[in-house]
Amino acid sequence: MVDEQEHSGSDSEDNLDTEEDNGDQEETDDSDEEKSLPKKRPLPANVTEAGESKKRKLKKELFKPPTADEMTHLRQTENLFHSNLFRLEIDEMMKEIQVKEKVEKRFQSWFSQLQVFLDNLKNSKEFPISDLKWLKGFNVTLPIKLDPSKFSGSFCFVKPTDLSVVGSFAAKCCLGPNLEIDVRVEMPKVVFLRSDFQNQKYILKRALYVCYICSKLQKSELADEVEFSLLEGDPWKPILVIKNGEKLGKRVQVRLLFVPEAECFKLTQLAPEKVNIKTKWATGKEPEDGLELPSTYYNRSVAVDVALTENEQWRLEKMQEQKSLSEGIMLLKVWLRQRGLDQGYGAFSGYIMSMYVAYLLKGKKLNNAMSSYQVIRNTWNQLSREDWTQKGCTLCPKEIGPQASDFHLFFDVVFMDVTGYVNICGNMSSEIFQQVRRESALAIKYLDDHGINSFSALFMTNLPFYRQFDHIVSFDAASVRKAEQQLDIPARLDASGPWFTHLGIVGVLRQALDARVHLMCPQLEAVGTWSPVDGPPNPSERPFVLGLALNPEHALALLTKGPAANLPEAKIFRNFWGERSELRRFQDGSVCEAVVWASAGGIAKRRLVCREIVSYAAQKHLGVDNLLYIADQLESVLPLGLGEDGALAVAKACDALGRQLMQLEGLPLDISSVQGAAPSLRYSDPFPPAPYMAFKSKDAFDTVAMKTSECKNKFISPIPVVLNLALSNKWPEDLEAVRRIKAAFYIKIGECLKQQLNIISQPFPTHINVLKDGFIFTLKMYHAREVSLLKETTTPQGLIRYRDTEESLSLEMQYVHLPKLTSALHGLHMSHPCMGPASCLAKRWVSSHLLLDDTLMPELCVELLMAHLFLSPAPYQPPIQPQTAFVRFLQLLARAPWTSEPIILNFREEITRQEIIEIENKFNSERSTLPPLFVVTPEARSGTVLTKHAPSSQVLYRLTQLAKASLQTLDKELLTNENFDYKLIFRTPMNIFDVVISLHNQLTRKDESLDATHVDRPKTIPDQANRIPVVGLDYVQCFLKDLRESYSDYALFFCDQHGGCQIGVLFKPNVLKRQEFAVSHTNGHIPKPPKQMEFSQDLFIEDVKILGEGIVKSITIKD
Amino acid sequence: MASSATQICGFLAIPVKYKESSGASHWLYCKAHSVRVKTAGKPVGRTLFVVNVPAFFTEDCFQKMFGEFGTVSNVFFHKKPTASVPEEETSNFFKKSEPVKGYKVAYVVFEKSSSLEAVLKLKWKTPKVLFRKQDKAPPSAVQRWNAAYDEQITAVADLQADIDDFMRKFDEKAKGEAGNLKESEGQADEDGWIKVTKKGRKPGLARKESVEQRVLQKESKKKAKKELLNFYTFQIRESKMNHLAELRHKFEEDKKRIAQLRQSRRFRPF
Repeated sequence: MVDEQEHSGSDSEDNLDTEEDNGDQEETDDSDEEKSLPKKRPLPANVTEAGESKKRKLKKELFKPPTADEMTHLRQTENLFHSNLFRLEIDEMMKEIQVKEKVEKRFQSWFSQLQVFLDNLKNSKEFPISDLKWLKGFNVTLPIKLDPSKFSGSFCFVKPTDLSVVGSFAAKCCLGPNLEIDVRVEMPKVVFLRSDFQNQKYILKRALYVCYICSKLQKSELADEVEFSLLEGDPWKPILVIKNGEKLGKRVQVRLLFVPEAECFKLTQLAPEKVNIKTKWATGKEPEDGLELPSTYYNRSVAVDVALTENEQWRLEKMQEQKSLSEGIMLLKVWLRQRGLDQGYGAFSGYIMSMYVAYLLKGKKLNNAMSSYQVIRNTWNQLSREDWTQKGCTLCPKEIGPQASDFHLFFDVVFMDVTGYVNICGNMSSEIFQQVRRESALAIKYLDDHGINSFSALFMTNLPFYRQFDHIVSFDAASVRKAEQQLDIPARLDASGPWFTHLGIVGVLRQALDARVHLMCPQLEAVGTWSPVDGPPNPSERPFVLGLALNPEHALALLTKGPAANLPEAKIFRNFWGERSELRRFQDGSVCEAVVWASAGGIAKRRLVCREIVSYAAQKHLGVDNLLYIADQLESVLPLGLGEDGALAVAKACDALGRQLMQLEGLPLDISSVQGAAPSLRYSDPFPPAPYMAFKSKDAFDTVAMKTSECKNKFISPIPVVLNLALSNKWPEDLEAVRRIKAAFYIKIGECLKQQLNIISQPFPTHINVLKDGFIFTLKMYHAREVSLLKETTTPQGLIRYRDTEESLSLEMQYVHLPKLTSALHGLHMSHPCMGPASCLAKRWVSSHLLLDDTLMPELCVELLMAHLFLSPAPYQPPIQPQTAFVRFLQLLARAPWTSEPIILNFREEITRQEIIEIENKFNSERSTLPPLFVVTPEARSGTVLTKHAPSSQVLYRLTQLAKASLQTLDKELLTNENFDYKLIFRTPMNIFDVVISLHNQLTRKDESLDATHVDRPKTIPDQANRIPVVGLDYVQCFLKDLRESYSDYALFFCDQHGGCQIGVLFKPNVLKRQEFAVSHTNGHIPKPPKQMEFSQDLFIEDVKILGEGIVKSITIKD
Repeated sequence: MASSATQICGFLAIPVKYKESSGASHWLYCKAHSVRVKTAGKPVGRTLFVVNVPAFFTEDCFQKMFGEFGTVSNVFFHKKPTASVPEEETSNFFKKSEPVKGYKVAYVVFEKSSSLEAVLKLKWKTPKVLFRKQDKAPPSAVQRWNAAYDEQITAVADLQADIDDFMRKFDEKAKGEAGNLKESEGQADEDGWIKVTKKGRKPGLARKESVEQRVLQKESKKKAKKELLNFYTFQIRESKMNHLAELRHKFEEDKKRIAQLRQSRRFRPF
């Protein structure tokens, strides 16, 4: 409670004080107000006047005296919840996931039938347990992997002594809409002998009991389907899953959990240090050194069953009928489920979570008066602070039983139950617990950050495993077996499955990667169900998948530094790294052991140092050489890699040119700053311009720039740069004159460059092209007065007003916003070096789907959305690997939050909290008038500047659909298919278009196309050049422009900017319908006398042929 | 109505083919130009108003089409119908208006009014072919784009000369205006009024919107200072009520938002 008050509806808190005259005593104050309000506060005069207008009615609604209910509701929201919206959102979600009453009723009647059914079961005869041939008669295969021949004795079925609903359903925190209802079936004492807890006999008898009930249930009408599954993914703990579409409902599953009757076994005998499986019995040999190993995991497995009843009783007692508490648990469960942490062997299950909440309740960290929001908040807060790997917590009163510290000798993670003998988190690895802790800390961070919609980040977003991590390592089953041999893991008698090998692998990799990773998390996989006829699934057949969350500070280091050579630790280091380890002298004079990874190469290679380390360690210590390492696969779609090196060269040349320009002498006004505006200067150009070969003419020539007749070069993209001049009051107050002066300036700059620095250039009326280090820069000058001259209008009264015009906006975009955004994005890229490359991937993807175009989806928008992922990465951490960032970009597109939330890019935290609220309010009230994609940056706070014309909602919808399809493919293939062709998600279907225009390949930018092979880029620095080649002449874009000029009213044109050789045409709806003749809409229509006209597709084709003569190869029309 | 001439809502439809081999023909919709606002450039009676003119149509094309009826003295292209005539370009480098592209509207001015009548009388049964085989072939698209690119590249000296010429004229004009202003400074006009300019001793406030707003803001601030806040009981009561109303308003807003989200099924976590 104390913790909460600072976070509750912070903006309204101040006002609260003014409303309550005597401060803190909420309770008394509340009732006071309720009683007195109607009397004390007569309606304001203006409201009592019966107003008929809607506005007045609304006002009346707002000013009517509050009821008691309303006051408590408002007060509760202010004090007990994050915000009003958060509360409403919780309520809405609860409606979706709560158990419906009719479902509960249906279950209750089914349950009573089950009781009767089990009660009527007859005792069976005695079956031998060393030979299970008789089981075939029941049509059931033993659901565990045990060799029965080692056992002796017999099994006899006796009907269960007790049946009760347990688990989350009983505690009223069951997650819908797909319900799993746990029913506890108590096996009678007589089935077991006192010594059956030894040597796995209990496990076998329990399994046989399950089989027997299964066979009976199969024949009854209670179940449509009976299947086996596993409790907690433990291969020794089969349970029954019952489905009955008619009696239970389609979305309900009942799970029968089997536990022995109380007093069957003593918990003291099942303490973790006890030896309950004898080596002699298991292997036939005496243990080598005469020491028996404790059967810790086996003991736990049995003890869980024994202690289940007691734990359940205790939990139910603690959480009796407390709605907000069970709501809180449900929220936490949803949170776990979305992160994939709650299912599978060693998971942080919902059961553990609810036990933990009960623990906090017991420790008075939570109380009954808390709202569900406070419950989750405090739970996360506590969880992020605790470390169960060091100091476990216990539900058991301290005096009795073993202490938590004893358990730490046997388990990674310790959380003891009420009996004090069972570790609830016994199967959990410390990695999973650390992840849960980290996620809890993140959750608190999101709740505190008001800038983001934390509700959707915490509860509504699914986080598939591969999107959470930068790198994924996958060991297939064969590799795991190899590693098992190599690691020489002693055969454990007390657990079944490859878990210990997994721990060994994690250990090796943890030692190899050390500080390079924040987290190394195994993938948890939910155990499915299987039919009773089939055998149980073999956990050893599954691949072992690890996700690595890189630590950006260390992950990219080229060198792993070891201890000083003279220390004893050096030997361990040398042993671990083998021949790769070498002695090195460091700058501080020390001589240390060290391993050097990727010798040289760009940043793209440095990101993969971890891969090199993992594959080396895997080969050396695990004997595995065919790892599936997912990190950079998608990068292969770009023939030039991610363009970082190219961009670096451009940036260098641009900086140099900028410095030279600012030092030019003899200009009438000094150049005060030089700002680049090209995507390559933000590291987000998938095909950064390459320095070209020297163009040189020996003969005399008129102009430095070459004409198309003189040279036929490949497409070269110019690099736009904006110049700012020193202030001067001598500029003319006339647009035409300003244009002339600017042109004269360009000529002067050209002269100075030639004379002082021998740099060649070509001035144009609107800009100047300059050749520097083989790159061609297009310099344009910004004169602020020009924009205001364009905006200026005079009213009839002689008042001068400034209003935006199309022209002024486009000028501002070019000269002000673009350079500023370029520097902001560049800055962000510097702190997150994978942003630029990730934008390249994203742009390539959008372009491949023919949508990257200034009229459809401008490239700047793609980059801004990508930047959004880095500025507000919730629910993730900012990615390190471009591929991960790209996948999350797809997820953002698929989620399409733009209809309901503004995209706020708070570069350098310049927008204050108050402003964000204002922006959100504006967004909510004026949504329909705002552009479909609403992006706010500190420079463009109105949110309309950058996306006014594009993208349209249709384009956004298409992007969402495409992103969903791409993600589906990735979900399916990424982790499983080693030979997956990543280009698949970059191929777009052409069959949706009405007309497809094929172009001649040689006129397109074919080097950039998806299937282009890698082209070596020229590295010559053309010192000798005296001509500037043809720049920026892209025939496909020219053609598209012509087409749009003629037909933009009737059709949309789509083309891949990067080497696409097909243009897709989509007619707007209703265009092909016959229409009344109207002068304004005759274009491209043929007459249908007397008064109608019709858009002619034939004429359109004819026009395409005329407009694209020489570039159009063929035209296909969809029939 | 003539049996074979295609008339539609008062427009004469003329079919045109780009080449003989063209599959479909374009249709020009023509009418005699008649508007209330009369301009010298588009004389009524001699001007043919044409809509649905395809992108490739140039002045030459109209010469070709209507040359046989009499001399075409002028053709104006516009994006939309207008009575005015486009401004005359004075410089090769700095165009006052962008060239019209895509489908456009044309005003064809004939030398004689008889030519116009002749055009409108004809039945235009077969499509007129613009580029016959024997004619010089029109430029292909690629050639067009190349030419447009080449056109931008000009010799520096020519550009400089053009700029110098303009600036000379501009300076002269500016000087003249400044001289006039100075002369009229402080002088009463025929009605006896003296014009106040920003050049004088007391230029006064600039007549801008922003300046005016600033003045108004200052005024309202002054006014607010004079008022007493939360002084009378009714004021306190009102402020409490306002706060409640604000809370309710926010609550309603949030509810609306939730309803919106609910519609898009945003509350199903799985």
